[in-house]
Amino acid sequence: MADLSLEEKCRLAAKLVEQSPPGEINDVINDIRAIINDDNALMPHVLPSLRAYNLSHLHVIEHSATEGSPAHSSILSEATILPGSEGGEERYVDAEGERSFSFDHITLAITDYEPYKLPDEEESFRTALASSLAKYAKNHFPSGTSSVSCSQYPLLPLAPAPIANAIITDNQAASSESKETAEPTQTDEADAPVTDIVAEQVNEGDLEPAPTPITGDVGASEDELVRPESLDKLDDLVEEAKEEEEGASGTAAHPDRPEVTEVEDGKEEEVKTPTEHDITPGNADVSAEKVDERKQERIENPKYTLEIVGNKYNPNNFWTGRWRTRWVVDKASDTVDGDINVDVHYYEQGNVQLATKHTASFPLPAEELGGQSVASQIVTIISKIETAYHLELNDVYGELGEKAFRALRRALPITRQKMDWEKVTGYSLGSDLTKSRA
Amino acid sequence: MAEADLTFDSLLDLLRRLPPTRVEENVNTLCDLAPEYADDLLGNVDQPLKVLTDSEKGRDFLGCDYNRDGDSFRSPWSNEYIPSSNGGPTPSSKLRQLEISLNSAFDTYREMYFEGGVSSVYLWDLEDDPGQGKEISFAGVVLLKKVLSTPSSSSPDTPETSPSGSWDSLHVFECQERGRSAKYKLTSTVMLVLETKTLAKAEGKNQDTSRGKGSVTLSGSMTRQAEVDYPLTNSAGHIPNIGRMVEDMEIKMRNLLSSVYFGKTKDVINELRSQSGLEIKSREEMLRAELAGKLGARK
Repeated sequence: MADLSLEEKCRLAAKLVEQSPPGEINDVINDIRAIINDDNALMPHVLPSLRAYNLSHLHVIEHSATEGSPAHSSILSEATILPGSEGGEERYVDAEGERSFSFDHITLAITDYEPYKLPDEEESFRTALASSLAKYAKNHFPSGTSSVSCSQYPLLPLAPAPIANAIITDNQAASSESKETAEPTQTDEADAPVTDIVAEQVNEGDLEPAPTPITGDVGASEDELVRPESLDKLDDLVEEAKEEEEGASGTAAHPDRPEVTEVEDGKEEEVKTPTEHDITPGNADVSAEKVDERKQERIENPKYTLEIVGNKYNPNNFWTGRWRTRWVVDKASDTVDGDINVDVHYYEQGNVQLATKHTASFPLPAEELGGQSVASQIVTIISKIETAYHLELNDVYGELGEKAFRALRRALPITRQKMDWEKVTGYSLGSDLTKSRA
Repeated sequence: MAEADLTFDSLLDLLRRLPPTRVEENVNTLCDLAPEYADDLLGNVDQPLKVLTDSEKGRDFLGCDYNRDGDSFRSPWSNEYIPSSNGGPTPSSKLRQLEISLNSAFDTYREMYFEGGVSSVYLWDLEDDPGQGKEISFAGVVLLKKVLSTPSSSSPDTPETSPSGSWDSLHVFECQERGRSAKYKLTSTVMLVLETKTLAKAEGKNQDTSRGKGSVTLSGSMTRQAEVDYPLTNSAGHIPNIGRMVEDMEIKMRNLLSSVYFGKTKDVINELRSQSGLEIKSREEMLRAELAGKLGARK
């Protein structure tokens, strides 16, 4: 048996990381490091495995409190990858904190926060789902973290003047609109604190872009040139084409520019001083047309992914456990599809693991029903399915314990007595016993 | 050397953490990663027992590291290696007599407790020159395996959940005769896998198209050790001694497995998710505290 090369060994070893039980990833990696004994060779292979593990096991990230934003958690998953950052320098969305960030899967370091904002239509549905899901998670998962993500492209955060205008225009158009649509859900769904948090973070998110305010014509075009660095090559091409268009419309729209600056000021103050908006509506209409020319990337029927992860680690008593839930709301197919996974590891003088996988789907509720919003109905059905599943798991234990376990090995022979080993040599072979039973 | 031991500890620690359902695959991987420890790993890590057939005797038997020589395994029924192998060890003739009797006794035991399955007992001498002294020392392993397969013929119209599973037990012992008694050291491992299906889905109005299906797997192994001294009048006395020792250990381990598989892991699920809801729970706790307070006040 020829020995494998170090490279092959590292690749094989790194694969084992993905089998790690809940909360024991560091133990598994440390074991592998001791076996390979060459971190420089090993770690590049561990990175993709760790990434895959963190995403599929819904790694929880704690965000410390910042000005205007209380400490909270978000989840890493395929669904929280920032749309548009896939394949490149991958970023993750913290929807509650309205920002995206870079994540180092090995050091677990969070860096480079940037504002993240969904279009209002998506954000209001996402928020409604998130507040319903948070309530359900809070009530049923003692150490649970929940998250709702939307696959829609976020509004371009460091946008040049015309786009910034568009954001505001959208906000204004939708903020009055979304109050109508969002309020009913909030009254029967969201408890007051959640609403507070959202309001604060709207504010906070708006403060983030402040370091690069648009101060005039020149600044705007500079921003425009700088921005594409963070995008994919494909986006670059799109951007370049758009820049050309915009250069043309930019000069035509030149007279508007002074007001544009004011709009930006207004944007920063948006939440605090609504009176300032009085200045903007006239301009907003004009700039809205420009936005149409340089349209925001959009996908039809974005998917909403609801995720909950509940972890409990008790190494002192040799057990760990994880309950994962993922439900995808797909408006294109009018269905909600879910996966539930429960993993438990018990390792006192042994290695016992429970692994469950369950998939379920149900039709997307069509409309508000009896005062209950669609978002709320979705979470209600999810909670009913998970409750039914939890009940079924308890039944499964009965069935496995009573039926299967007994069928494998009886607690005592049918005689209800232990073997009489003194006489056993007197018996003939067990096979004869089989014959006599038959 | 200390570093080498650390590597071996890490190999064993990994196998204590990785999924038991994939132990065979993972042991192979680890043997590739650390070939210098391959033999130690194969000798220390219990893997599911192989069911083999002694076609000459027309009976199944079990294979593990203790009756293996290369790719061949010794049959307890014929004492031959299958496929035949030159130079594979066999027990001394005195020990082979005891091995035949133990196989017969555990065949009865298997039928009484497992009502099916396969059993095999293998013995090997621990002395360089066996059979010369009056007091002998030897070692052995009692193997038991039963597989419960899902009835594959069940009609597809009835999506009934039918559990499947397997039980593999290995009881490795050493025996030292001491005058009118014998000392036995036992290490027992049971590997147990249980699987079934789940069907939970949305019920109620407008839920005709709802679907739900899944699987539950409980798998693992537990190991326990024991030491016993039993009286011994003649060499046939080993049969009831070893028999009782293995029987007592299996009864103990079955209870242990039952509490871990069906108690512990279920408790952890209920730690992860509260079925009744934490609001109700905390309300109940408040009521209980209130009640306790009132009862306390009455005293």
